[in-house]
Amino acid sequence: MIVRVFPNSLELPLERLGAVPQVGLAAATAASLLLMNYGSKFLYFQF
Amino acid sequence: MRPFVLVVLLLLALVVMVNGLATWDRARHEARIARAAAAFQPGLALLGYRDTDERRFQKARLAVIPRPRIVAFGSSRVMAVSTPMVGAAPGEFYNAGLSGGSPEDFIVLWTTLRDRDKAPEAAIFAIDNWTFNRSHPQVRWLAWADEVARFVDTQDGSPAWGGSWVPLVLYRWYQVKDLLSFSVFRSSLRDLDRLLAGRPARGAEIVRSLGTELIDARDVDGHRALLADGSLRYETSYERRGPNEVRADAIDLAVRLRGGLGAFAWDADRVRRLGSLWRDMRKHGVRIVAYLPPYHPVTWDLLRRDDGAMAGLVETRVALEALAAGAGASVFDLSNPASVPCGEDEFLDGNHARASCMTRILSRIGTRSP
Repeated sequence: MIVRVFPNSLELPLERLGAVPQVGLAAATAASLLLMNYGSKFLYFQF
Repeated sequence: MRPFVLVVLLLLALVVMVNGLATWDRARHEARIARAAAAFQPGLALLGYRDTDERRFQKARLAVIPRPRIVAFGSSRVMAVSTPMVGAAPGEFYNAGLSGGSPEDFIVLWTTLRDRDKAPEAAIFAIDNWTFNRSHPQVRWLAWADEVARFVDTQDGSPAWGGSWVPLVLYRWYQVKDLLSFSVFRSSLRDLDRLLAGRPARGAEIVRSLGTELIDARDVDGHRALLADGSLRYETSYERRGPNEVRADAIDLAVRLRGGLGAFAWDADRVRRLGSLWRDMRKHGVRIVAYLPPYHPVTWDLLRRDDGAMAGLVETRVALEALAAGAGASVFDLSNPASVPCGEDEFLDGNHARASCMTRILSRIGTRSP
């Protein structure tokens, strides 16, 4: 059900998406990349 | 396709730019602190030390002083140790003690020296009697958690595999990777916000103190001051407190705080960290002498009737002796002031010894030149 409603991003027909959905998807992608790298060991101390 | 790629690249570039800018500003600020720290020359005294970030200050000082022959590590209980007390020539001794200093602090201070090829010949460690008691909070070192983790993670500070370039390459990789880290991004935004709001950067008070509160050491005039060898001179009003006032402190330390040994909960992680530190220091040829500092006689009399506290202290001594045996260090348990010996009038409060007692401690552990 989840897969049918929210298809994997790799299966999204990117070239057929409109500009606005593409921008939304791009923002989500950038945020994901950032959050994947959440912790920091070096530049700053994080509690 | 094009809007997607463009927006992803733009957003990531924005994050890299913000993080890069904040990192650059921080490096510039650290360089400013280092320049200010270098102005603290022998013969001068710093008055405003109490209001500065001691950890940042000591790290900056260790980075700029010439290689010392002897370095003292410890908490406030070692801070009064000075060059004449050790019997060293000017410039040969540095006191890296700081308030609430714990083995984790010593790790960072040591690596600051080691990484600049300034390993001393000998290191004196004043290990607080409550160091391995989790119930006695010692959290100031957390400001250095990353550096401590890096030291511990890389097995005594150097990897077991690869050449000497491996840690450097890894370190650079992690630094670059952090330019795209969310937590770094949040910190960068906070730093930039601070900058834009016109608030001073963290550690700016050190630059300010070193710029305006450095005076001739002969003009200290009874104020609390830090000397260029890192030693602390107490204010006259504190040194002149009467025996009753000091005894009240000593009783309070024993009764209310149980000498830092109450509800003793063993901190095995800290023991391991101290062991790693000592092994790394020995690898670099540093002679290590450690001691558990004495309590005020009244505090000690009360504490030795406290079975829980004594059990913690014995466990601490045994662990230190085992670490010392493994690392080729010497350890002295001087918790009992009679073992030095230091009298009641040789303490400023329940656990801070006066100069006469400190000098005797240094003779007792064999780190004082005649």
